[in-house]
Amino acid sequence: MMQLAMRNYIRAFKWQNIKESYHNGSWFSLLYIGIMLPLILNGWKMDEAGISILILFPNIFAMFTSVLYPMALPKLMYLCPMSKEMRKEYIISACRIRTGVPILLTILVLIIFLFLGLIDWVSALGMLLNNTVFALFLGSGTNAKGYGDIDQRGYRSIPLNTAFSVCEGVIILSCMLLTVGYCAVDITDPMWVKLLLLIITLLIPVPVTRYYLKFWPGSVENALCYENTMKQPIILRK
Amino acid sequence: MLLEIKDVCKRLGNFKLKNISLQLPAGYILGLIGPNGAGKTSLIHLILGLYEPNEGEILIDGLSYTDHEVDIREKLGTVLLEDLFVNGLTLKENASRFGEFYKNYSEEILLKYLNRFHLDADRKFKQLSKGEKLKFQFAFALSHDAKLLILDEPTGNFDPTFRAEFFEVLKEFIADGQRSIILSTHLTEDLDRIADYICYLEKGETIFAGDIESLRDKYRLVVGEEYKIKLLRKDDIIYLEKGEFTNRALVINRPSRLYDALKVTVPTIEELMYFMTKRGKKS
Repeated sequence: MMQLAMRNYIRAFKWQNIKESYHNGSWFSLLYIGIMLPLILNGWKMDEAGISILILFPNIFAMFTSVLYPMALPKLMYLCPMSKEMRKEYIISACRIRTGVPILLTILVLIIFLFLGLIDWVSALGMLLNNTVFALFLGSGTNAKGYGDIDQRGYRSIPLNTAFSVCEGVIILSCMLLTVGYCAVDITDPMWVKLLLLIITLLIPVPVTRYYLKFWPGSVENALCYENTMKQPIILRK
Repeated sequence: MLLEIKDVCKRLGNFKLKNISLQLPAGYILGLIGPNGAGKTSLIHLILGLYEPNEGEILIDGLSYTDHEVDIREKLGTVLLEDLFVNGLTLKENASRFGEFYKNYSEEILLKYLNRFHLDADRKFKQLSKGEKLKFQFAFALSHDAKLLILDEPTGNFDPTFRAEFFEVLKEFIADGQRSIILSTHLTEDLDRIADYICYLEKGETIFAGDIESLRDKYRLVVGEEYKIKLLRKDDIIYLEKGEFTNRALVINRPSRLYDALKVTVPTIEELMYFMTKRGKKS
Protein backbone atom coordinates (compact mmCIF):
# COMPACT_ATOMS: atom_id res chain seq x y z
CA MET A 1 0.00 0.00 0.00
CA MET A 2 2.88 2.34 0.78
CA GLN A 3 4.27 1.83 -2.73
CA LEU A 4 0.87 2.37 -4.25
CA ALA A 5 0.24 5.54 -2.26
CA MET A 6 3.71 6.84 -3.13
CA ARG A 7 3.18 6.11 -6.83
CA ASN A 8 -0.21 7.84 -6.81
CA TYR A 9 1.21 10.84 -4.99
CA ILE A 10 4.11 11.23 -7.39
CA ARG A 11 1.78 10.94 -10.41
CA ALA A 12 -0.55 13.65 -9.12
CA PHE A 13 2.07 16.06 -7.69
CA LYS A 14 1.69 18.63 -10.44
CA TRP A 15 1.40 22.40 -10.29
CA GLN A 16 -1.87 22.25 -12.22
CA ASN A 17 -3.39 20.00 -9.56
CA ILE A 18 -2.10 22.24 -6.75
CA LYS A 19 -3.72 25.26 -8.43
CA GLU A 20 -7.00 23.37 -8.76
CA SER A 21 -6.99 22.40 -5.08
CA TYR A 22 -7.40 25.98 -3.88
CA HIS A 23 -10.75 25.02 -2.31
CA ASN A 24 -8.84 22.68 0.01
CA GLY A 25 -6.71 25.59 1.22
CA SER A 26 -3.74 25.85 -1.18
CA TRP A 27 -4.19 29.65 -0.97
CA PHE A 28 -3.01 29.36 2.65
CA SER A 29 0.36 28.04 1.43
CA LEU A 30 0.84 31.19 -0.65
CA LEU A 31 -0.10 33.34 2.34
CA TYR A 32 2.40 31.42 4.44
CA ILE A 33 5.18 32.00 1.89
CA GLY A 34 4.23 35.68 1.62
CA ILE A 35 4.48 36.21 5.38
CA MET A 36 7.47 34.01 6.16
CA LEU A 37 9.80 34.79 3.28
CA PRO A 38 10.57 38.47 4.14
CA LEU A 39 10.75 37.66 7.87
CA ILE A 40 13.29 34.92 7.37
CA LEU A 41 15.41 36.77 4.80
CA ASN A 42 15.44 39.82 7.05
CA GLY A 43 16.12 37.86 10.25
CA TRP A 44 19.01 35.67 9.18
CA LYS A 45 21.81 38.19 8.95
CA MET A 46 24.67 35.75 8.38
CA ASP A 47 23.00 34.18 5.41
CA GLU A 48 24.16 36.28 2.50
CA ALA A 49 23.38 33.63 -0.08
CA GLY A 50 19.74 33.52 1.03
CA ILE A 51 20.07 29.80 1.65
CA SER A 52 18.06 30.15 4.88
CA ILE A 53 14.83 30.10 2.94
CA LEU A 54 15.47 26.39 2.41
CA ILE A 55 14.04 25.86 5.90
CA LEU A 56 10.65 26.88 4.50
CA PHE A 57 10.67 24.25 1.77
CA PRO A 58 9.68 21.28 3.95
CA ASN A 59 6.80 23.29 5.39
CA ILE A 60 5.64 24.49 1.98
CA PHE A 61 5.89 20.93 0.72
CA ALA A 62 3.84 19.73 3.71
CA MET A 63 1.21 22.36 2.95
CA PHE A 64 0.96 21.48 -0.73
CA THR A 65 0.73 17.75 -0.04
CA SER A 66 -1.93 18.28 2.61
CA VAL A 67 -4.14 20.27 0.23
CA LEU A 68 -3.42 18.07 -2.75
CA TYR A 69 -4.07 14.80 -0.93
CA PRO A 70 -6.60 15.28 1.84
CA MET A 71 -7.44 12.46 4.22
CA ALA A 72 -10.59 11.57 2.25
CA LEU A 73 -9.86 9.45 -0.81
CA PRO A 74 -11.01 10.31 -4.33
CA LYS A 75 -14.55 8.99 -4.85
CA LEU A 76 -13.39 6.41 -7.38
CA MET A 77 -11.18 4.79 -4.75
CA TYR A 78 -14.27 4.10 -2.66
CA LEU A 79 -15.69 2.30 -5.69
CA CYS A 80 -12.57 0.23 -6.35
CA PRO A 81 -12.35 -3.29 -4.93
CA MET A 82 -10.76 -2.50 -1.59
CA SER A 83 -11.86 -3.73 1.81
CA LYS A 84 -12.08 -1.33 4.74
CA GLU A 85 -8.80 -2.75 6.05
CA MET A 86 -7.07 -2.11 2.71
CA ARG A 87 -8.51 1.39 2.60
CA LYS A 88 -7.31 2.03 6.14
CA GLU A 89 -3.84 0.77 5.26
CA TYR A 90 -3.77 3.05 2.22
CA ILE A 91 -4.92 6.08 4.23
CA ILE A 92 -2.33 5.46 6.95
CA SER A 93 0.43 4.94 4.35
CA ALA A 94 -0.60 8.21 2.71
CA CYS A 95 -0.40 9.97 6.11
CA ARG A 96 3.11 8.56 6.58
CA ILE A 97 4.17 9.97 3.23
CA ARG A 98 2.61 13.35 3.94
CA THR A 99 4.44 13.62 7.25
CA GLY A 100 7.57 11.61 6.50
CA VAL A 101 8.71 13.41 3.35
CA PRO A 102 8.71 16.93 4.92
CA ILE A 103 10.59 15.56 7.95
CA LEU A 104 13.19 13.98 5.68
CA LEU A 105 13.48 17.22 3.73
CA THR A 106 14.00 19.10 7.00
CA ILE A 107 16.80 16.71 8.01
CA LEU A 108 18.43 17.24 4.63
CA VAL A 109 18.20 21.02 4.90
CA LEU A 110 19.57 20.96 8.46
CA ILE A 111 22.55 18.86 7.37
CA ILE A 112 23.30 21.54 4.75
CA PHE A 113 22.97 24.28 7.39
CA LEU A 114 25.24 22.42 9.81
CA PHE A 115 27.75 21.76 7.05
CA LEU A 116 27.78 25.46 6.12
CA GLY A 117 28.09 26.45 9.77
CA LEU A 118 24.88 28.48 9.76
CA ILE A 119 23.48 26.79 12.89
CA ASP A 120 24.61 24.65 15.81
CA TRP A 121 23.18 21.38 17.14
CA VAL A 122 20.75 22.99 19.57
CA SER A 123 19.12 25.15 16.89
CA ALA A 124 19.15 22.19 14.49
CA LEU A 125 17.28 20.08 17.04
CA GLY A 126 14.78 22.89 17.68
CA MET A 127 14.17 23.42 13.95
CA LEU A 128 13.73 19.68 13.44
CA LEU A 129 11.18 19.51 16.25
CA ASN A 130 9.36 22.58 14.98
CA ASN A 131 9.11 21.32 11.40
CA THR A 132 8.18 17.82 12.59
CA VAL A 133 5.28 19.26 14.57
CA PHE A 134 4.16 21.25 11.53
CA ALA A 135 4.44 18.19 9.25
CA LEU A 136 2.47 16.03 11.71
CA PHE A 137 -0.19 18.69 12.08
CA LEU A 138 -0.70 19.06 8.33
CA GLY A 139 0.13 15.55 7.19
CA SER A 140 -2.08 13.74 9.67
CA GLY A 141 -5.11 15.11 7.83
CA THR A 142 -6.94 15.54 11.11
CA ASN A 143 -9.54 18.26 10.88
CA ALA A 144 -12.83 19.18 12.46
CA LYS A 145 -14.82 18.64 9.27
CA GLY A 146 -13.51 15.11 8.97
CA TYR A 147 -14.24 14.30 12.56
CA GLY A 148 -17.96 13.79 12.79
CA ASP A 149 -20.47 10.97 12.66
CA ILE A 150 -23.48 10.63 10.43
CA ASP A 151 -26.46 10.42 12.72
CA GLN A 152 -29.71 8.56 12.13
CA ARG A 153 -31.26 11.63 10.52
CA GLY A 154 -28.55 11.70 7.87
CA TYR A 155 -26.82 14.78 9.25
CA ARG A 156 -23.17 14.84 10.01
CA SER A 157 -22.83 15.72 13.61
CA ILE A 158 -19.57 17.46 14.48
CA PRO A 159 -18.45 17.65 18.07
CA LEU A 160 -18.14 21.31 18.96
CA ASN A 161 -14.74 21.04 20.54
CA THR A 162 -13.19 24.37 21.46
CA ALA A 163 -9.95 22.71 22.50
CA PHE A 164 -9.62 21.25 19.01
CA SER A 165 -9.94 24.64 17.31
CA VAL A 166 -7.61 26.31 19.83
CA CYS A 167 -5.02 23.58 19.19
CA GLU A 168 -5.05 24.30 15.44
CA GLY A 169 -4.48 28.02 16.03
CA VAL A 170 -1.73 27.46 18.60
CA ILE A 171 0.15 24.99 16.40
CA ILE A 172 0.10 27.19 13.29
CA LEU A 173 1.01 30.39 15.13
CA SER A 174 3.71 28.90 17.36
CA CYS A 175 5.36 27.03 14.49
CA MET A 176 5.45 30.14 12.33
CA LEU A 177 6.84 32.35 15.11
CA LEU A 178 9.39 29.75 16.17
CA THR A 179 10.62 29.31 12.59
CA VAL A 180 11.22 33.07 12.41
CA GLY A 181 12.82 32.91 15.87
CA TYR A 182 15.22 30.12 14.95
CA CYS A 183 16.21 31.96 11.78
CA ALA A 184 16.78 35.21 13.68
CA VAL A 185 19.19 33.56 16.14
CA ASP A 186 22.76 33.74 14.97
CA ILE A 187 25.29 30.95 15.56
CA THR A 188 27.35 33.42 17.59
CA ASP A 189 24.45 34.31 19.92
CA PRO A 190 24.64 33.01 23.52
CA MET A 191 23.58 29.42 24.15
CA TRP A 192 20.77 30.38 26.56
CA VAL A 193 18.89 32.10 23.69
CA LYS A 194 18.97 28.92 21.64
CA LEU A 195 18.03 26.80 24.64
CA LEU A 196 15.15 29.15 25.41
CA LEU A 197 13.73 28.64 21.90
CA LEU A 198 14.15 24.87 22.23
CA ILE A 199 12.34 24.91 25.59
CA ILE A 200 9.47 26.98 24.11
CA THR A 201 9.21 24.43 21.30
CA LEU A 202 9.10 21.60 23.81
CA LEU A 203 6.55 23.35 26.00
CA ILE A 204 4.06 24.71 23.46
CA PRO A 205 3.78 23.14 19.97
CA VAL A 206 5.01 19.65 20.92
CA PRO A 207 2.46 18.89 23.70
CA VAL A 208 -0.35 20.70 21.85
CA THR A 209 0.29 18.58 18.76
CA ARG A 210 0.35 15.45 20.92
CA TYR A 211 -3.08 16.36 22.24
CA TYR A 212 -4.34 17.31 18.77
CA LEU A 213 -3.30 13.95 17.31
CA LYS A 214 -5.69 12.18 19.68
CA PHE A 215 -8.34 13.13 17.11
CA TRP A 216 -6.43 11.40 14.33
CA PRO A 217 -7.79 7.83 14.73
CA GLY A 218 -11.32 9.25 14.55
CA SER A 219 -10.49 11.06 11.32
CA VAL A 220 -9.01 7.87 9.82
CA GLU A 221 -12.11 5.85 10.75
CA ASN A 222 -14.26 8.53 9.21
CA ALA A 223 -12.33 8.59 5.95
CA LEU A 224 -12.90 4.86 5.46
CA CYS A 225 -16.48 5.43 4.45
CA TYR A 226 -17.41 7.68 1.52
CA GLU A 227 -20.61 8.79 3.18
CA ASN A 228 -18.66 10.37 6.02
CA THR A 229 -16.44 12.38 3.73
CA MET A 230 -19.00 13.89 1.39
CA LYS A 231 -20.51 17.30 1.78
CA GLN A 232 -23.61 16.83 3.85
CA PRO A 233 -25.76 18.99 6.04
CA ILE A 234 -23.65 19.61 9.11
CA ILE A 235 -24.87 20.30 12.61
CA LEU A 236 -22.67 21.17 15.54
CA ARG A 237 -23.27 19.42 18.82
CA LYS A 238 -21.99 20.35 22.24
CA MET B 1 -30.75 -12.58 -8.80
CA LEU B 2 -27.91 -10.26 -9.69
CA LEU B 3 -29.39 -7.46 -7.63
CA GLU B 4 -31.77 -7.73 -4.72
CA ILE B 5 -32.88 -4.75 -2.67
CA LYS B 6 -35.04 -5.61 0.33
CA ASP B 7 -37.02 -2.89 2.15
CA VAL B 8 -34.19 -0.39 2.09
CA CYS B 9 -34.64 2.92 3.91
CA LYS B 10 -32.13 5.72 3.94
CA ARG B 11 -32.28 9.16 5.49
CA LEU B 12 -30.21 11.95 3.97
CA GLY B 13 -30.96 15.15 5.82
CA ASN B 14 -34.55 16.07 5.03
CA PHE B 15 -34.81 13.49 2.27
CA LYS B 16 -35.74 9.88 2.85
CA LEU B 17 -35.75 6.81 0.62
CA LYS B 18 -38.60 4.68 1.90
CA ASN B 19 -38.93 0.90 1.76
CA ILE B 20 -37.30 0.36 -1.60
CA SER B 21 -37.53 -3.22 -2.85
CA LEU B 22 -36.23 -4.30 -6.20
CA GLN B 23 -35.01 -7.40 -8.00
CA LEU B 24 -32.98 -7.68 -11.18
CA PRO B 25 -32.05 -11.06 -12.67
CA ALA B 26 -28.93 -11.55 -14.79
CA GLY B 27 -29.24 -10.71 -18.48
CA TYR B 28 -31.58 -7.73 -18.21
CA ILE B 29 -31.62 -3.95 -18.23
CA LEU B 30 -33.33 -2.00 -15.47
CA GLY B 31 -34.39 1.56 -16.20
CA LEU B 32 -34.39 3.82 -13.18
CA ILE B 33 -36.71 6.74 -13.75
CA GLY B 34 -38.30 9.54 -11.81
CA PRO B 35 -38.39 13.33 -11.63
CA ASN B 36 -35.47 15.37 -10.32
CA GLY B 37 -34.94 14.81 -6.60
CA ALA B 38 -36.83 11.51 -6.66
CA GLY B 39 -33.88 9.66 -5.12
CA LYS B 40 -32.40 7.93 -8.18
CA THR B 41 -28.81 8.96 -7.48
CA SER B 42 -29.20 8.19 -3.76
CA LEU B 43 -30.46 4.71 -4.65
CA ILE B 44 -27.50 4.25 -7.00
CA HIS B 45 -25.14 5.32 -4.21
CA LEU B 46 -26.76 2.72 -1.97
CA ILE B 47 -26.35 0.00 -4.61
CA LEU B 48 -22.72 1.05 -5.04
CA GLY B 49 -22.17 0.75 -1.31
CA LEU B 50 -21.24 4.42 -0.99
CA TYR B 51 -24.12 4.88 1.44
CA GLU B 52 -25.10 2.43 4.11
CA PRO B 53 -28.84 1.78 4.41
CA ASN B 54 -30.51 2.68 7.72
CA GLU B 55 -32.79 -0.32 7.28
CA GLY B 56 -33.04 -3.22 4.84
CA GLU B 57 -30.50 -5.12 2.83
CA ILE B 58 -28.78 -4.92 -0.54
CA LEU B 59 -27.43 -8.09 -2.14
CA ILE B 60 -25.36 -8.16 -5.30
CA ASP B 61 -25.04 -11.59 -6.87
CA GLY B 62 -26.17 -12.94 -3.48
CA LEU B 63 -23.40 -11.13 -1.58
CA SER B 64 -23.71 -8.35 0.98
CA TYR B 65 -21.30 -5.44 1.46
CA THR B 66 -20.77 -6.31 5.10
CA ASP B 67 -18.91 -9.54 4.32
CA HIS B 68 -17.90 -9.35 0.66
CA GLU B 69 -17.14 -5.74 -0.19
CA VAL B 70 -14.13 -6.54 -2.39
CA ASP B 71 -15.93 -9.30 -4.33
CA ILE B 72 -18.92 -7.05 -4.92
CA ARG B 73 -16.83 -4.13 -6.13
CA GLU B 74 -15.07 -6.44 -8.61
CA LYS B 75 -18.49 -7.10 -10.13
CA LEU B 76 -19.56 -3.46 -10.46
CA GLY B 77 -18.86 -1.08 -13.32
CA THR B 78 -19.87 2.52 -12.78
CA VAL B 79 -20.61 5.63 -14.78
CA LEU B 80 -21.57 8.57 -12.61
CA LEU B 81 -22.42 12.06 -13.71
CA GLU B 82 -19.30 13.60 -12.19
CA ASP B 83 -15.55 13.76 -12.83
CA LEU B 84 -14.26 10.66 -11.10
CA PHE B 85 -10.79 10.58 -12.60
CA VAL B 86 -7.67 12.67 -12.03
CA ASN B 87 -7.62 15.77 -14.22
CA GLY B 88 -3.85 16.00 -14.62
CA LEU B 89 -3.38 12.42 -15.86
CA THR B 90 -3.92 10.96 -19.31
CA LEU B 91 -6.71 8.46 -19.92
CA LYS B 92 -4.24 5.59 -20.01
CA GLU B 93 -2.55 6.73 -16.78
CA ASN B 94 -5.90 7.18 -15.07
CA ALA B 95 -7.06 3.74 -16.14
CA SER B 96 -3.89 2.02 -14.97
CA ARG B 97 -3.96 3.94 -11.66
CA PHE B 98 -7.44 2.72 -10.79
CA GLY B 99 -7.37 -0.45 -12.90
CA GLU B 100 -4.68 -2.02 -10.74
CA PHE B 101 -7.26 -2.52 -7.99
CA TYR B 102 -9.30 -4.83 -10.24
CA LYS B 103 -8.28 -8.46 -10.73
CA ASN B 104 -9.67 -8.60 -14.25
CA TYR B 105 -8.70 -5.17 -15.52
CA SER B 106 -7.46 -5.37 -19.10
CA GLU B 107 -5.69 -2.48 -20.77
CA GLU B 108 -6.27 -4.18 -24.09
CA ILE B 109 -10.04 -4.06 -23.61
CA LEU B 110 -9.85 -0.47 -22.44
CA LEU B 111 -7.88 0.58 -25.52
CA LYS B 112 -10.34 -1.30 -27.72
CA TYR B 113 -13.26 0.68 -26.30
CA LEU B 114 -11.34 3.97 -26.34
CA ASN B 115 -10.67 3.36 -30.00
CA ARG B 116 -14.30 2.46 -30.62
CA PHE B 117 -15.46 5.63 -28.83
CA HIS B 118 -12.88 7.76 -30.71
CA LEU B 119 -10.96 8.77 -27.60
CA ASP B 120 -7.20 9.28 -27.57
CA ALA B 121 -5.63 7.34 -24.67
CA ASP B 122 -2.80 9.88 -24.38
CA ARG B 123 -5.07 12.87 -23.92
CA LYS B 124 -5.37 14.37 -20.46
CA PHE B 125 -8.64 13.78 -18.68
CA LYS B 126 -9.19 17.50 -18.11
CA GLN B 127 -9.02 18.16 -21.86
CA LEU B 128 -12.12 16.07 -22.51
CA SER B 129 -15.62 17.45 -22.88
CA LYS B 130 -18.35 16.33 -20.46
CA GLY B 131 -19.62 13.71 -22.91
CA GLU B 132 -16.10 12.42 -23.59
CA LYS B 133 -15.41 12.12 -19.87
CA LEU B 134 -18.50 9.94 -19.54
CA LYS B 135 -17.40 7.89 -22.54
CA PHE B 136 -14.08 7.30 -20.81
CA GLN B 137 -15.81 6.27 -17.59
CA PHE B 138 -17.94 3.93 -19.66
CA ALA B 139 -14.87 2.41 -21.35
CA PHE B 140 -13.21 1.93 -17.96
CA ALA B 141 -16.35 0.32 -16.53
CA LEU B 142 -16.27 -2.17 -19.41
CA SER B 143 -12.56 -2.91 -19.07
CA HIS B 144 -12.59 -4.91 -15.84
CA ASP B 145 -15.15 -7.59 -16.59
CA ALA B 146 -17.97 -6.18 -14.47
CA LYS B 147 -21.19 -8.15 -14.03
CA LEU B 148 -23.43 -5.25 -13.17
CA LEU B 149 -23.12 -1.90 -14.93
CA ILE B 150 -24.57 1.05 -13.08
CA LEU B 151 -25.04 4.11 -15.24
CA ASP B 152 -26.31 7.35 -13.74
CA GLU B 153 -27.84 9.57 -16.43
CA PRO B 154 -25.05 9.37 -18.99
CA THR B 155 -27.17 9.53 -22.15
CA GLY B 156 -28.12 13.20 -21.88
CA ASN B 157 -24.49 14.14 -22.53
CA PHE B 158 -24.00 11.88 -25.54
CA ASP B 159 -24.47 13.07 -29.10
CA PRO B 160 -27.12 11.18 -31.12
CA THR B 161 -24.52 9.19 -33.07
CA PHE B 162 -22.82 7.96 -29.94
CA ARG B 163 -26.15 7.24 -28.25
CA ALA B 164 -26.88 4.62 -30.87
CA GLU B 165 -23.40 3.16 -30.35
CA PHE B 166 -23.91 3.29 -26.57
CA PHE B 167 -27.08 1.21 -26.73
CA GLU B 168 -25.34 -1.20 -29.07
CA VAL B 169 -22.58 -1.71 -26.49
CA LEU B 170 -25.19 -2.22 -23.75
CA LYS B 171 -26.87 -4.93 -25.80
CA GLU B 172 -23.51 -6.63 -26.39
CA PHE B 173 -22.78 -6.41 -22.66
CA ILE B 174 -25.86 -8.36 -21.61
CA ALA B 175 -25.84 -10.71 -24.60
CA ASP B 176 -24.33 -13.66 -22.69
CA GLY B 177 -27.18 -13.56 -20.15
CA GLN B 178 -24.75 -13.34 -17.24
CA ARG B 179 -24.66 -9.55 -16.80
CA SER B 180 -27.12 -6.80 -16.13
CA ILE B 181 -27.39 -3.04 -16.36
CA ILE B 182 -29.03 -0.35 -14.26
CA LEU B 183 -29.59 2.76 -16.33
CA SER B 184 -30.87 5.91 -14.72
CA THR B 185 -32.09 8.36 -17.32
CA HIS B 186 -34.50 11.14 -18.14
CA LEU B 187 -34.51 10.18 -21.81
CA THR B 188 -37.23 7.64 -21.47
CA GLU B 189 -37.73 6.93 -25.17
CA ASP B 190 -34.44 5.03 -24.98
CA LEU B 191 -35.81 2.88 -22.18
CA ASP B 192 -38.92 2.07 -24.20
CA ARG B 193 -36.61 0.40 -26.68
CA ILE B 194 -34.10 -1.25 -24.41
CA ALA B 195 -35.29 -1.72 -20.80
CA ASP B 196 -36.70 -4.99 -19.50
CA TYR B 197 -37.43 -3.73 -16.00
CA ILE B 198 -38.47 -0.32 -14.73
CA CYS B 199 -38.18 1.22 -11.32
CA TYR B 200 -40.11 4.44 -11.04
CA LEU B 201 -39.22 6.56 -8.01
CA GLU B 202 -40.95 9.65 -6.74
CA LYS B 203 -40.14 11.59 -3.57
CA GLY B 204 -38.07 8.69 -2.29
CA GLU B 205 -40.78 6.09 -2.80
CA THR B 206 -41.19 3.35 -5.36
CA ILE B 207 -44.25 3.99 -7.48
CA PHE B 208 -43.56 0.99 -9.67
CA ALA B 209 -40.84 -1.65 -9.73
CA GLY B 210 -41.14 -4.59 -12.04
CA ASP B 211 -40.88 -5.78 -15.59
CA ILE B 212 -41.84 -3.40 -18.35
CA GLU B 213 -44.59 -5.66 -19.70
CA SER B 214 -46.41 -5.57 -16.35
CA LEU B 215 -46.07 -1.80 -16.39
CA ARG B 216 -47.55 -1.65 -19.87
CA ASP B 217 -50.37 -3.96 -18.82
CA LYS B 218 -51.12 -1.96 -15.71
CA TYR B 219 -51.88 1.41 -17.30
CA ARG B 220 -53.70 2.81 -20.31
CA LEU B 221 -53.77 6.24 -21.85
CA VAL B 222 -57.26 7.21 -22.90
CA VAL B 223 -58.21 10.11 -25.11
CA GLY B 224 -61.71 11.43 -25.62
CA GLU B 225 -64.50 13.52 -24.22
CA GLU B 226 -64.29 14.45 -20.56
CA TYR B 227 -67.63 13.01 -19.51
CA LYS B 228 -66.77 9.67 -21.08
CA ILE B 229 -63.47 9.52 -19.23
CA LYS B 230 -65.27 10.40 -16.01
CA LEU B 231 -67.56 7.43 -16.51
CA LEU B 232 -64.57 5.25 -15.64
CA ARG B 233 -64.06 4.37 -11.97
CA LYS B 234 -62.85 7.50 -10.20
CA ASP B 235 -60.12 5.66 -8.29
CA ASP B 236 -58.69 4.32 -11.55
CA ILE B 237 -58.09 7.73 -13.09
CA ILE B 238 -54.56 8.71 -12.17
CA TYR B 239 -54.65 12.10 -13.85
CA LEU B 240 -57.01 13.71 -16.30
CA GLU B 241 -55.53 16.40 -18.48
CA LYS B 242 -58.12 18.71 -19.98
CA GLY B 243 -57.18 20.29 -23.29
CA GLU B 244 -58.82 22.79 -25.59
CA PHE B 245 -59.61 20.20 -28.22
CA THR B 246 -59.07 16.90 -26.47
CA ASN B 247 -58.76 15.34 -23.04
CA ARG B 248 -56.21 12.73 -22.03
CA ALA B 249 -56.06 10.59 -18.93
CA LEU B 250 -53.82 7.91 -17.54
CA VAL B 251 -55.93 5.17 -16.04
CA ILE B 252 -55.38 1.86 -14.34
CA ASN B 253 -56.16 -0.86 -16.80
CA ARG B 254 -58.72 -3.49 -15.80
CA PRO B 255 -58.76 -6.64 -17.93
CA SER B 256 -62.52 -6.69 -18.38
CA ARG B 257 -62.96 -2.96 -18.89
CA LEU B 258 -64.66 -1.57 -21.96
CA TYR B 259 -63.39 1.86 -22.92
CA ASP B 260 -66.58 3.01 -24.55
CA ALA B 261 -65.80 5.30 -27.49
CA LEU B 262 -62.45 6.33 -26.04
CA LYS B 263 -59.20 6.06 -27.92
CA VAL B 264 -56.96 3.77 -25.89
CA THR B 265 -53.20 3.35 -26.18
CA VAL B 266 -50.43 1.79 -24.13
CA PRO B 267 -48.58 4.71 -22.53
CA THR B 268 -44.93 5.26 -23.25
CA ILE B 269 -42.63 5.58 -20.23
CA GLU B 270 -42.45 9.30 -20.83
CA GLU B 271 -46.23 9.63 -20.81
CA LEU B 272 -46.39 7.49 -17.72
CA MET B 273 -43.86 9.69 -15.92
CA TYR B 274 -45.64 12.83 -17.04
CA PHE B 275 -49.03 11.74 -15.73
CA MET B 276 -47.62 10.18 -12.57
CA THR B 277 -45.87 13.36 -11.54
CA LYS B 278 -49.10 15.28 -12.08
CA ARG B 279 -51.34 12.95 -10.12
CA GLY B 280 -53.14 14.50 -7.17
CA LYS B 281 -53.06 17.90 -8.88
CA LYS B 282 -55.99 19.59 -10.59
CA SER B 283 -55.96 19.71 -14.39
